[in-house]
Amino acid sequence: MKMIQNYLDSLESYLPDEMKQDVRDELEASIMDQVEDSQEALGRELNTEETEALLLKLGHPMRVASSYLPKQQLVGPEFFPAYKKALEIALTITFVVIVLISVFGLLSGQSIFDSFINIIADVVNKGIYVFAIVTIVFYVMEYCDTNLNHLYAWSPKDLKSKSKRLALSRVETGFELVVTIIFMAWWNDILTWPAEALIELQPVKVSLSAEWQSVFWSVNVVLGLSVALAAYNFVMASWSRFSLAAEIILSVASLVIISQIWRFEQLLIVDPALNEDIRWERVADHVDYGIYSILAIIAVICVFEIISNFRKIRSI
Amino acid sequence: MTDSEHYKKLKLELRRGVIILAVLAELQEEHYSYSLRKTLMAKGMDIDEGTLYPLVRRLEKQGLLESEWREESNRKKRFYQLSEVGKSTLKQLIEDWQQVETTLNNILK
Repeated sequence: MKMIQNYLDSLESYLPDEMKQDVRDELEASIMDQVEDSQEALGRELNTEETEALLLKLGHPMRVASSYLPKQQLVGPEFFPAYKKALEIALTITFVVIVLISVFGLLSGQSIFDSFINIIADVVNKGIYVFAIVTIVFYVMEYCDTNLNHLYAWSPKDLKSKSKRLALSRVETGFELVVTIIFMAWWNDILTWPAEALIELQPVKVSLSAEWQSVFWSVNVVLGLSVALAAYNFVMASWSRFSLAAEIILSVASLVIISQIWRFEQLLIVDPALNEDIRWERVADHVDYGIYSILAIIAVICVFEIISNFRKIRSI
Repeated sequence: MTDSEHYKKLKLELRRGVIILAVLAELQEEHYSYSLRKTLMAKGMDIDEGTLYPLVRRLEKQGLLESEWREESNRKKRFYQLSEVGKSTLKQLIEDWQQVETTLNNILK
């Protein structure tokens, strides 16, 4: 009987105060009735093994106690779809912010390896906090029996087209985001790389001409808006009318800037080296043709994107 | 999950629906928890204590049962019986069950 009392003591410990005595009395009566029935059938008292078997059949005290308690889940099936979506969005935003902060660390001199380790550590650390906060919010909503109608309110007319043409790869938008930030950092002299070209095995210093100053701020505006749009696209992972229209405007602005650059009299300044055998004017022309080619390719890409994005808008 | 595990899970889900009806039907007469379990077992429905006792408390909380504590054989026992709401609910559930049974028999032909 000591074993039975120990079982009941253990079971009580898992119950709230207001239920302890009630549940204990009820289960004790049931267990003792089962013991009496078994003893009557056997014609003797139960031994330790038989009592143990009876209690094992009943189940672990914690499990038996939990069956008396309401709401055995953190987030139930009714709230789970909204909870899952909220978690996806929150963790995605956390990841993007951590990567952006790490890129700035990289630009200020931190090594790539250190930045990578920091990203992993931060994602895990902050991710756990975000997970806990979102879970607690939804647990409280379910505990308070929050009405979900506004959360799940919908109309067939409001459903957006989810065709494959409108899906956006997060890998591509993430890459675009990082590349644009790095280019913006170079443009604003936060990040520099060797401005030397190797011409006929001679290192030659190459720099942008003063005319580029006339497009400095317009390029910054386009780059800044591109970063913001890439971040938005990364989170949404799907084109919308807004994002497509914004892309078209940015492509048009890029074409305007390219046309301005095209009219520069001099694109780059090549510092002549000591070797006077090399004809530096021809070298400068070749470098300029290279830049014009890159600008032409960018212009063609912009035109292609404008047409493609117009088509996407019409299909939404 | 093996086939027999799938089958056991599905069988459990099938029983879940009828356990409440069986318990309410049996509690048209007064029982305490253990005697209720013994009676249901004798009639072919084996329900473990971990399922039956919390269920009975839940049904009481929902107003379908009434209970009172009495001392029997030097032990405190809680006796349950259908309330008035429980009786009308049972009547409706029996009608629903009979409809379900007819429908299912048609499908299983």
